[in-house]
Amino acid sequence: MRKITALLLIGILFSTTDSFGQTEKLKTVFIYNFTKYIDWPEAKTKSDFEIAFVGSTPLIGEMRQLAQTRKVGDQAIKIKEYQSISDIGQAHIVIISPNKSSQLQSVLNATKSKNTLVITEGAGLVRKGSSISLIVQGNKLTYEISESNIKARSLNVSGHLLKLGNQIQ
Amino acid sequence: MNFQQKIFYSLIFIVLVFSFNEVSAQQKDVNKLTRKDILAMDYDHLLEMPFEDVLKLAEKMGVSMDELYELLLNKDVTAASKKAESSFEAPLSTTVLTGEQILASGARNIEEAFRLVPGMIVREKTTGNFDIHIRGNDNIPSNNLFVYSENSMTLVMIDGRQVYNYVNGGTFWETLPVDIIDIDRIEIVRGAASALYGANAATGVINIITKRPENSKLEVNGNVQGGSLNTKIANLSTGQAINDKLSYRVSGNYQYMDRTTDKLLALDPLDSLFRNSTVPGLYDAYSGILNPEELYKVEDLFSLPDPSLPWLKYVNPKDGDGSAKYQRPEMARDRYGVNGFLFYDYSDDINTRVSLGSQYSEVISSTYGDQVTPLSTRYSQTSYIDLYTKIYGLSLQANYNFGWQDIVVGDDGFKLDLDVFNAQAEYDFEFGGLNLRPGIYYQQASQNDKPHLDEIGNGYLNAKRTINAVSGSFRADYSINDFRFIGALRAEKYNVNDDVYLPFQFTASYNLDNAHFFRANYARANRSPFAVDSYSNYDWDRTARSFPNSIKFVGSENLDLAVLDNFEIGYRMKPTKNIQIDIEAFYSIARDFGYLSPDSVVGNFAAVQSTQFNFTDPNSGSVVKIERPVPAAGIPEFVQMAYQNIEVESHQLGVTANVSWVANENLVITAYGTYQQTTLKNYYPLTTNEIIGQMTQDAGARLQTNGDNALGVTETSFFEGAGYDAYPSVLAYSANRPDVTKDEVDHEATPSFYGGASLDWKGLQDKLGVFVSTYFFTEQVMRTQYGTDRTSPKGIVNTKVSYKIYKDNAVFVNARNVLDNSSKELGWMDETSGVYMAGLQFNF
Repeated sequence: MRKITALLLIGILFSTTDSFGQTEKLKTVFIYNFTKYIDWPEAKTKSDFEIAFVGSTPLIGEMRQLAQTRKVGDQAIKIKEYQSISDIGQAHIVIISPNKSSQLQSVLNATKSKNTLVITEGAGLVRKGSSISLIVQGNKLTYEISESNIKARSLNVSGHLLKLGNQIQ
Repeated sequence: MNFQQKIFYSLIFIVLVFSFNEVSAQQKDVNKLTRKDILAMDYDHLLEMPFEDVLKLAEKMGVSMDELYELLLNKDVTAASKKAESSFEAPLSTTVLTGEQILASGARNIEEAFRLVPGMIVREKTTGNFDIHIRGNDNIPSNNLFVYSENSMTLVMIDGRQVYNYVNGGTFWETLPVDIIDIDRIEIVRGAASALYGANAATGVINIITKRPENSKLEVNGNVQGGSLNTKIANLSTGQAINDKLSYRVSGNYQYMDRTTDKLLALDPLDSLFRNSTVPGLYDAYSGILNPEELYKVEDLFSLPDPSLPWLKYVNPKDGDGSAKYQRPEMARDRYGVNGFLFYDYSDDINTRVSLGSQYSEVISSTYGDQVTPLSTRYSQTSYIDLYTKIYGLSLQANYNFGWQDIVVGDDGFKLDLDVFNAQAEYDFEFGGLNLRPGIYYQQASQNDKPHLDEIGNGYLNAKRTINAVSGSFRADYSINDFRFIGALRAEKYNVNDDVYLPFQFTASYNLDNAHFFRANYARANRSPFAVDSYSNYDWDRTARSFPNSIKFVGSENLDLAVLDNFEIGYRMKPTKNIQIDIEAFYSIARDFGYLSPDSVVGNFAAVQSTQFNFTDPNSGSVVKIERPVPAAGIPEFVQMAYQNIEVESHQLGVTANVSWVANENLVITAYGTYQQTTLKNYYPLTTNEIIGQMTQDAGARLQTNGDNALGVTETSFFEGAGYDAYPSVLAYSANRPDVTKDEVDHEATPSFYGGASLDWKGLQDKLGVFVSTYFFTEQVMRTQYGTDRTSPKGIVNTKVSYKIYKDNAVFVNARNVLDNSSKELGWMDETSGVYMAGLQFNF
């Protein structure tokens, strides 16, 4: 009897699997949409559109999938994974995974004059300098955004994108 | 059309119909899409949609379970390494309680919320007033004042501002100006952390982090509840972000709770002394006047009939009927606080915060004094102003905390003015994976009892006394691949101790694939000196009370400070995405405890026969002939109690496990427990009064053998009428503390098994919330000067059920100790009872 109870318990414990990985897809779509509302300087529109990741996140796989079929304007999407801060190059977007949020300041410093949009995941990170941060608010996916943080990277952002998100000033 | 053609066209028709349906589904108003539709959508669909619609979809779909797990299992934490990180990767034993979690749990105040934290021992002393320890080490040294059971080994901070009591160590929890409504989160680090946070972070650190307004529209939040035991609790807060740079928040809180009785236990700390008295019949005459099992009404206790010996009094005659000491004996806690926070963000790299606040509190809780009842009244009125500024990597914090406290209301000498000033600067350097953080700190803590004394000499300090500390620290944090190493060292120099203290910390951690995390930690932490330990200078005149007639308390500026060495290994794992298991094993050694204990006793000896002998007066040098008594009876006349180090060492070995399970988006279950063994080496088994009794006997024995410890003939009439009139009484001293065998004992005051569990469920589209929690501990035995008191194992269950009637406005019922388990939770403290409340939570 005890065995059965134990088995049942284990059954209950492990039966609750993730039924929908759709959020990662939505995040990818969010990020892709951001590129429509942000203008990079002329010099950065010639090469491939480089999206780089700091830290591991399921978004990398999703983004690679998207890159196969989509472009940003005329630019092909190129995905990079940085092993350390010193690898940071000329990426258009750097995405910091949630478990590497503590490296935000280092990433900001390393990308200072490179017109790089810095995207994080988690509340309060835009206040710390991130350009846009994907957050979960009241059980829904949305984003925090700061016009001044984006302008500080010499990028132009449309008022529409600002309006749709939670503006942090 | 033949049959085949019919089939062909029918198929085309069917395909067309389905295709059309498919197209219309895509073009359907997003508002009409079901969650299932959204979950089925692929990139092509999603990327074709306007961003506004994608946002709507996100709202409809809600958060994924993955995200929910991360949110619930791995809250961000800063306290563990002074760097923001996910709690899964925190290098020390760490727990984060969020403000929402505390509110949902129904905890009446911040102290009660610690019952949700693994590794914390939380026992209710009187209603709403808790004894709070991290892993215990309480009641050391034993057999002495009740105050040595208070926790002076955990550093408590609000937004990095220390709220520690530098009078005699520990935290007066009721004096925290903030309440649950102010809390963004509480970070708890178990284990020594002095190298990062300074003195007193020996068994751990608690940092209470307050909320900041994020919304540009004015927000008002409140929470009011009331119920049995006259409980009234109100929290109110308002704030807004005025513009992109400036924001503010203002809050207020109030708590009132009655005790479960308006009576007091009466325990004469001198009982053991009487028991060992050499005066025939004294113990018999004395015993039985106070019944340790009985609860007395204040007026009855203070008007107890005189015992058979007319010079004996149980309570201080100056206390009259006791009403000054216990103005409201039914009250447990009555407090309010107000706080204001102003944030100015010049830019992301330059920002500042000013917080200020004030609180007034009255409690009846465990006594800090030496008296007949284990409970006394405490009043405190304190205020603070705290400034925090961050300029790029540099963080600066300075605060001033001031006010007064009457630690034992109605007793002379316990009322003090407090002034505590702290200033610190830390700088963050980043070089790739290396983070360096040097810091400098200054602290000045003053206590002044002079303004509150009728007469200089009646106070503990009789002066303004200051303890200051200058410290410097350096921390290096290096990450390479999935390894992380942290080394921290701090040097602290106090004005009252010649030594420089060097707390340190070394940790190493390894994050294997984000599902298994290993860590090891070795650290040393120390306590700071306190005003009474260092500077006590108190003459306690006990005339007209039971002997001794006078006790002098003296501090020592050169006590060794208590030190705790802590070794830990930890393992966190996620067997599945929705379960996190956290196991920590720890071994600690605490030593160099200090306490107040007799170092010399002057006895008063009566004789039944005598021989003459020469006595040299130590002051005048003249030689007088006095009767040398052959003591038949002796009592202690004068005792000097000195702060001194004691050899006892506490060795603690234990393991804490915590399992959090996010069963689904509406249900989170957590269970935790700590099993530990605390052993005291060099345990000194005598109570203060047994020491006094034995030293008096020693003085008598030496007087009898050679009389070289005689101090003179006394005029005292103590032995008059007791059959000793024929011979004079002689005073003689002893400075020989009894050298009893030091034992290794199981320290039973710290429970060996304790923990809890909670279930947080939401239903009816988040409208209904149910939070059930339980907390338990095993048997404990506390040893103080009152004797020995056993606390039975206990478990309690708490439940809060809330229902949102409109948006985030909810009504709720909240029951603490719902099964009304009345057994006491700590030696000699009040029995507890269930508290049943109803309330309202509003946000607009």
